[in-house]
Amino acid sequence: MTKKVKGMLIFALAAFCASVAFPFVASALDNEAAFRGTVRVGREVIPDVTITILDDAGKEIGSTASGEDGKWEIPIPSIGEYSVQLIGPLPEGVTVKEGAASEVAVLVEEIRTTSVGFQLETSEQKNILEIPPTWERLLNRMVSGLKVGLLVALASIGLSLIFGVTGLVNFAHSEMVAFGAVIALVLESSMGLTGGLFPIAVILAVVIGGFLGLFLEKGIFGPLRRKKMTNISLMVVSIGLAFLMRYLMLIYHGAEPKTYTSFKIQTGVSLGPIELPPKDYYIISIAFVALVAVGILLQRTRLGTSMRAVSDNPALAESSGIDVNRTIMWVWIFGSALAGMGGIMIGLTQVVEWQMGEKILLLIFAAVTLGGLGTAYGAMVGGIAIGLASETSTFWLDNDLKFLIALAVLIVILLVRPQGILGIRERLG
Amino acid sequence: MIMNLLAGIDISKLLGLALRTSIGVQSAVFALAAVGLNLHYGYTGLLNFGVVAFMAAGAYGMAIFFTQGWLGGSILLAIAAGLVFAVGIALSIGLPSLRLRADYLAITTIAIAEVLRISFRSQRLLDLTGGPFGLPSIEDRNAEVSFSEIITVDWNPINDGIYGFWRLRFDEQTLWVMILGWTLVLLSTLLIWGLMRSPWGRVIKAIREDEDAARALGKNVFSYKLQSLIIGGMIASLAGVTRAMNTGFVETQQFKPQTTFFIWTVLILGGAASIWGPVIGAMAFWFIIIFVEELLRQMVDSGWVPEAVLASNDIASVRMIMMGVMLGVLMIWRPQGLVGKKEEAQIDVR
Repeated sequence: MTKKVKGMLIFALAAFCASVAFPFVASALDNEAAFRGTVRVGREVIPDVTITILDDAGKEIGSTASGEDGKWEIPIPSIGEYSVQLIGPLPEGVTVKEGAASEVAVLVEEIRTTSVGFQLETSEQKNILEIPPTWERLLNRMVSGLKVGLLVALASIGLSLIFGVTGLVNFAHSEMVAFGAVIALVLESSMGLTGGLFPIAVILAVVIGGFLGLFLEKGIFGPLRRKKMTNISLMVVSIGLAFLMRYLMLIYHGAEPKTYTSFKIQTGVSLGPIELPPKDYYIISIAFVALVAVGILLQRTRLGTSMRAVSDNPALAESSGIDVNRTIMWVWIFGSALAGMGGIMIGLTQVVEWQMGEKILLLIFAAVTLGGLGTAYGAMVGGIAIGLASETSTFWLDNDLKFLIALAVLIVILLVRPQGILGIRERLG
Repeated sequence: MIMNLLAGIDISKLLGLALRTSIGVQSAVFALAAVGLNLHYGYTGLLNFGVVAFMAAGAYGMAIFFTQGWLGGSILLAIAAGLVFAVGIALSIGLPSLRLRADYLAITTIAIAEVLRISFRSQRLLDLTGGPFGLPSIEDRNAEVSFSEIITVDWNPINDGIYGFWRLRFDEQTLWVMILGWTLVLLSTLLIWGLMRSPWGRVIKAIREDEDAARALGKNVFSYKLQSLIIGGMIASLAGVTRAMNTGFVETQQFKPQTTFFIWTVLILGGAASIWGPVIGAMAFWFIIIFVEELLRQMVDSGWVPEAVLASNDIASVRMIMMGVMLGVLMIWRPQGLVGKKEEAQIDVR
């Protein structure tokens, strides 16, 4: 078999696998459709409130009381118009907000889970709209920036390492991030890995992410590199690959954003002046531990040392007995797994959707360029800096401009110090 | 079985639709942008991933000046303003980033294009750009005349009616914009042809082949690159203007990064560093895209493709997948595209 034919087969096989595997997984996503909601006022959930649903003829089709966590759920019988009513009783001092109603009309055009909310307020809220002091808000912004930064760092390390060992700027890296998030969601809903079992879905998705990296290296980029294609051509190939992956996710994962059901709404937990949902504490600690682990791997293990050696000077590394191709393979596996992990965490804090790769692509680029392309620690520093800069900027600027801040940082750093914070000057040529 | 398959397929419709699009306005728009990119990438070796920024500059520059009535509602002056805006973008991309290595240039250009798009979307520019809503009708606020009406009705020398034959029928307005668009394509192609035969063109190609050698011969490489960026950028901005003539509106959704990569695919399909590559690329690209889309649609409708594999409302995404696959496959197996020369197209830009 010639190399050309082999390459073609790999391409065809990849497309085939993707098109066959996705529909099965996707069809497992449909669960029972219901009206769903949480009775809450501010961050407090209210149990034992009766909710009744009438159809358009005024006939009652279901009634339930909110549980301990304030949640209620009533199945949707068919397409039609319904009226969802808040019957009560509400605790003392809690009322339906002025201008809002205790009855919500819902038009069901498609049988799918629909959330219904009632706007409630307490008598205190009515009177005082409490604004925490400025420094407290700034601190909360910064913590949120740190969180975003850690996640961007986690997602970017792979891109930087891959660039370091192969010289490829991989535009498909952000799709590897999205892939991890999507696979975790599919695993969660199809295998029932919700709640306490969710970490299993995360671990499986990270492993699958690693296999994706292995596949991309062994199936596409490795053979092409041996074909002596230039890094610029490979970069264009990676752009093509990014579109392929992104739109396969659109077709088989669907257009609407989804969330991990294990962590839908959580009540905030205060830690001094900082108030975050519990999942954010987990996310911050896990991301932090993962970054430290990456550092240890790079500094203390044989594999990590060879990664740094190849990144520094492939020819010298090879002549001192390091198996360069094997090292590159592990960088792909490792970088892709980390990207997947970053993706899952980003999905946890925001939503999981097919476009999340496109949305995070330039943030990742900004992070690695800021830190210095090719250095793993640079990606960490750059990621955290970008996260902090863009999140704290919302303190002064419009929310829709926060992305702009990251790009502005990217452009400015390229002008002032193109090798990045931790980069080495001669890389630039 | 083959006969059965063919029975569900309307070949005349398939070919007709594909041909119609490949000579239509959309194709002319992509050809124009690709002619500009060809000067950047094909001839100068600049890895410009921000082509769409120039299209946005042309379209928005023209639309803003026209809607505000700043130039007395003159269309030609408004278009000129769009071109000037494109020059400004070329300078703001080029001055900082042309000294960077190719992959850094790629990242910077894509970032600048996004900065421009997000700024146009911003609420703060609502008065000028319409923010997220765009300018749904490019209309002079004072005189209340619309841009596309002047172009397609007032200036239209073609009598009302439907022209053409078979499935290639166009009304007088579409036909007129097609003529305008393809005329611009022809003129800009001739411009590039002339430039590439001139001493200027030889320096540009020398820079692509070996920047240091050109520098050693005393050429100001930076200045030449900047000139190339400006000229190519102005041509690409005309693509944005042509699209606005056709659609009659501008909005930021039209200028997402994916448009840049559509144009890259067009250029590489046709053949970078060849005079007619962008034009042939645009026509071939739209022919292939529409042909495959329509074929899939008919196959889904006649039940040959099961719903689980591809639902009919997913066919629009197939276009993007095809673009991605085409870009990758061409780069791997035929970097010179349909009409390019292999030795000129294998660019290892530094």
